[in-house]
This record gives sequence, C-alpha cells and structure tokens, in this order.
Amino acid sequence: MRSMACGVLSLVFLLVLGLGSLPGQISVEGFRPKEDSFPVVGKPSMVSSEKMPKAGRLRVTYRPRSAVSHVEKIDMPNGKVLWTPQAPGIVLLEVGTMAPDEDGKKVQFKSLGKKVVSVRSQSSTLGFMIMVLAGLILFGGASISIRSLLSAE
Amino acid sequence: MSETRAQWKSKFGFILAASGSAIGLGNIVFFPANAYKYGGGAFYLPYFIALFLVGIPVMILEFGLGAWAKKSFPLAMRQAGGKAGEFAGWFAILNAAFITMYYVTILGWVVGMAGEAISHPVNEVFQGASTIPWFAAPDHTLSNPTGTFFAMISTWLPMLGVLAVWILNVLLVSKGTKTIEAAVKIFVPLMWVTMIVLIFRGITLPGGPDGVAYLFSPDLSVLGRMDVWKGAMAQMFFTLSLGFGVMTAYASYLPKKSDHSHNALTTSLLNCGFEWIAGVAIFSMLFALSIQPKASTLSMMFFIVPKGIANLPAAAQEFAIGFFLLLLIAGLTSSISLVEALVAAMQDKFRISRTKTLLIFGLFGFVGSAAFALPKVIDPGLSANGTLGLSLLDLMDHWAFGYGLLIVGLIECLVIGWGIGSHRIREFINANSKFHLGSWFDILIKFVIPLLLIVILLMNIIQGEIGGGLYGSAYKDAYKPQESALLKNLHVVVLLVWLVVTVSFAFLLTRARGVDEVEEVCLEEGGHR
Repeated sequence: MRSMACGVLSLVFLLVLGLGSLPGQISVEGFRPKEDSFPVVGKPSMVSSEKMPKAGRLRVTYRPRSAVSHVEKIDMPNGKVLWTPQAPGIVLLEVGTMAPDEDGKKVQFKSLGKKVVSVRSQSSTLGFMIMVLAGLILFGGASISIRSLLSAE
Repeated sequence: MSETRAQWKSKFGFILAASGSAIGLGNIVFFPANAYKYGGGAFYLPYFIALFLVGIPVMILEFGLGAWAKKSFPLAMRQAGGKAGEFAGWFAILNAAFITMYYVTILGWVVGMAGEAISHPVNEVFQGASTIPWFAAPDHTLSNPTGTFFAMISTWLPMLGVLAVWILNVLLVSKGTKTIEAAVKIFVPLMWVTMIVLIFRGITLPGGPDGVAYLFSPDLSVLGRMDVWKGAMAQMFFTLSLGFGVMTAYASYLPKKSDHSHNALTTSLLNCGFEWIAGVAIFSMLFALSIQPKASTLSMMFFIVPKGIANLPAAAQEFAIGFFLLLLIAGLTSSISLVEALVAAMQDKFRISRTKTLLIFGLFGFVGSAAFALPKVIDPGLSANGTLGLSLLDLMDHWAFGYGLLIVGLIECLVIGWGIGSHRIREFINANSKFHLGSWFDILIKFVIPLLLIVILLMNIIQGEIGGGLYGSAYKDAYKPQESALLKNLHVVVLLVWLVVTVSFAFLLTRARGVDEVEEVCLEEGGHR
C-alpha cells in the first residue's frame, strides 16, 4: 500500500510540475534562441537568418524522423519571417532557397542552415493524464502482483 | 539418474533475474524513441494491447514451459513437441548466441565511451567536431559524439572492453543461479536508482516537464496505420526477451509449485514500467535541450543521449559516466541470461560440466564478438555503417533480432498450442496460481498470436526485403571501390551465415543423443536381454 501511495505521490508531483511550468518567451531569432525560451503553439515567433538571401524559404518539419512528421513551407523574404507553430514538440527549422538540382531539371530546396527547437503546448493536461494513467497501470499492476507473490511466500 | 536441479534462493531473486534479463539496452533508449516515432501517447494504446495480448501470454507460456519440463528451452520444447520442437529450441538458442556475441560487442563499446567520458571533459568528446583521420577525405569532420564514437570503433582498443565484458559474463554465470542471483541483487536496484536520478535531472531542466507531456501527447491519426500496430507488437516481443529461451531456462530453476501467472505479470509490468521511466527521463532531457530523437538503439545511446548529457548545465561528466554505467549494468543483466540459456541447454542435454561449457562458449563468443568489433573502415563516407564490424552487426541484428525472435515465437506457440496442447501448460500453471487462466489463453496461443506474428513477418518480408531489396543491398554503393566481391555482397554473406549456422547446428544438436536418451536406450536394451 505504501509503495502504491509513493507511486501516486510522485506522479502527482510530476503532474503539478508540468502544469505549473509557464510557456517560455516566443523568440527564435537568428537561430540562436535563448536557452530558457521555447516557442509556443499558436503564438508567432520571429525566425531570422543572417545567411539568407532576399528570397528564401523556411521549411518547418514537425516531429522530424518520425512516422507522423509533416512539413510546412513558408516564404521568407529579407531573411526574416513570423512563424506561428501549429503543433507542439520537437521541430526542425531549415532556412534555404529554391534552386535547380545538379541536372538543372528540378527545382529543389537547398538548405543553408538548420536548427531544432522545442515547441511548447499551451495546455499539457492530456499528455500528463496519459502519462499518469500509463504509470498507474504499470506500477500499480506491478505492486499488486509483487504483493500477491510475496504474500504467498 | 538426473542431478538435483539448481534453484533460485528466493522468489524475489528470480523476479530480479527475470526482469533484469528483460530490461536491457533497448528499454533505456529504444522505447522512448519508438514511442516518439509512432505518435507519442497514441502509441500507448497499441503498446498496452500488445502487452496484454502478446507479451504477457507468451511470457506465461515460456515460464510455464520451463517449470513444467524442469529443463532448458530445447529439451523442454522436445517434451512439448518431439524432435521438431527440440530443433526449434536449438534454433532459438543458436540465434540467441549470435545476438549475445554482438550484444557483448555493443557493451564493449559502452565501456569505451565510458572511458572517453571518464578521461576527457564531456564538452570536448561529446560536443563540437572531430576530425576522423581514417576517412578518405583527410579533412573529414564529424560532429561529436558521433565523431568520438567512430574514432573509437575504428581502433582495436574496444577489444579490451569486449574481453572484459566476456570475462564478467563467464564469472557471473560460473555458479549458475547462485552467482546470477547475487549479481542481479546489486545490479537491478542500481539500474532503477540511476534511472530515477536521470528522471529528476530531466524534469528539473527548463522545459523538461513539457517534453514529458509531449512524449505522452497523443497523435490519434496514427491509430489507423498498420506500421504503428506492427511496431508495437514487435516492440513487445523484443522488450520482454521472448523467443530467446532465456525465460524458460530461468523458470526451470523455480520450484514446480510457483505462481507463474504472477511471475510473468510482475516481470512484464516491471519491464514496461522501466520503459515508462526511461521515456520520462530521456524525453524531458531531449525536449529541454531541443535534440531530435531517432528510433535506433545505437544512435540513441552513442550519439543522441550523450549529446544531450553534454549540454546539461551542471555535472555533465558525472551524468555521462552514470548513463554509460547504467547501460553497462542493464546490458550485463541481459547478457548473463543469454549465456545461461545456452549453458543450461548444453548441460541438460550432454551433462558437460558448467565450467567447461562456459569456457568453450566464452572463447567462441569472444571470437564472434571480436568479429563484430573489427575496426576496418569500409565505408569512409558513413553512408552505411563505417567499419566492417558495425556493418556485420547491423546486418546480423536485422536477421537474428528482427526475424529470428519472431520466428521462434511463432514456432513456440504452434508447437505448444497444437503439440501437447496449451491447455496442459495452462492446467499446470493454474494448479499453483492465484490468478487462473481461462480458455482464452489457449485461443491466444493457438490462433491469435501465431496469426499476428505471421502478419508481422510477412509485412517485414514484403515491405522490407521484396519492396526495398534485401536488407543491406543498398550499402554496397557506400563501400570503397577497391573492396573485394565478398565485401560487396556482405548482406548476402551474413544472411547465409546466420541461416546455415543456426539451421545446420540445430539439426546436428537435435540428432545428437543426449545423456537421457543414451540412458533410456541402455535401460531398454537391458530389459530386452
């Protein structure tokens, strides 16, 4: 019973910690965001790059390297653009230009620089609820099972 | 004239050993990356369905088989399904032997990376860039820790780590359950404590809790995708160490009157609980430090997590050492179970002494592990795997781990379900368990699980080998042009070696007369006279 209570308490602690955290400053400037700032879903962030020519493009990959990744392309005139994140999570920002490939047949995106940013959600409640539920099933189940095993001994 | 079989000193010792076997390198780094790949919180639905539909029932079956037969996997399978069953059992053990060899190589590399973390400041070896002198282009640079890792595996130095890990394995298995139990009583709690320390570090980073929320936030659009369900089913099989013959060997050292339903439930839930913890620890850190995960065990443990640790604001070196120590002990508790499964099988059939079996397997095992650690650079551009050893490891892992375990699981369910009948194992388990298995267990073992495994295997073959070409065939363009034809066809060579060795040796070992059979023949001949 005590192990169950400890498990529930630590989950509640995690939940409170998560709900209590405030969204960071919305700034992704010059691909050097502040260490403690994170873009937030629905709130615009300024993305800029010194390397960019006048007519460039910002390619945003949500959940990169996953089976559910999706890409958003935004024109980036003058090396700057106001980007509003659509979904939370790890996001790959790439700035570049559209240029013909080696054969000159296709126009492709040529990356000039990239940066991975973590986008916060305005509400993390669902994620935390699922985490707590999964933790309760696993550790609650394990502690009941262990108690049953050891009581037989 | 059977000898008295060794037994675990306590139920707790058995649970520690079984969960230590199941919790390995993959739990720490692969599960979080897999969950990320397949839609975060939404992945938990197929994951839990796979746990209760496939994982726990097969775990109960493997425990029940071991305790019922009181023998290791091949002989227990013979008792259940005759010679065909024994053949499948030896195939499983030999397949696991290949996995043990490259698993020890990975642990040797873990020792090497731990050495780097101890001997250099982590902001040097896990950050910045490295020039790799063995690359074709003399000025070829790689970002660290990738550069550090490739620089290390392209030398003979990791062989020392491989040797050390083999010596540890032999020592820890030398007295069977006695030494294994003593080791897991230290290693398994240490593993949990280290992981909990990593959690607290991760969630106290700015943005860490958001990373946790993100990992568990569901993208429900993935639930209609077949590959997500396949990923969850396969993940469950691999994470619980099913299809290795390990759980059967461990359960054969339990008293017959043990509660195998609860043993299986506890082991499975502890294993998955550890994965849950690992997800929280790793994801809070990666999100806080804006690092992309990758669904690959090696990439996560040698490149991505060390890079994250190197970026920690304080005590990065201590955390790096702690992380590699965690990997080493998690790997050791798994590798000793793999070695024990083979040693127990040889002992049961041929009554060879434990020391002799261990020394022979230790020697062959070291040679095999050394092959997977060969530092020869064959792919300077790193389009494939860099060194010959890593290429061999990648190809062998694809067949032995990706296919071998699922094939064993399928045959195991068919042999027991349709051979002696899963109801016999169920009745045996129910006789001593508080939780009684119903006839649903038979339906799962005879129909549902084999069907699921057949679908996964077929999907792997059709989408992977037929659709994309035989695994590794794309690598040959990456190898140096002057390499031999043998090397150019490494993907075929490895597949053939795996198939020929496992099938032919399983055939020979099944045909060979074990001590029990010789005694039976002697008794029969004596009776006729």
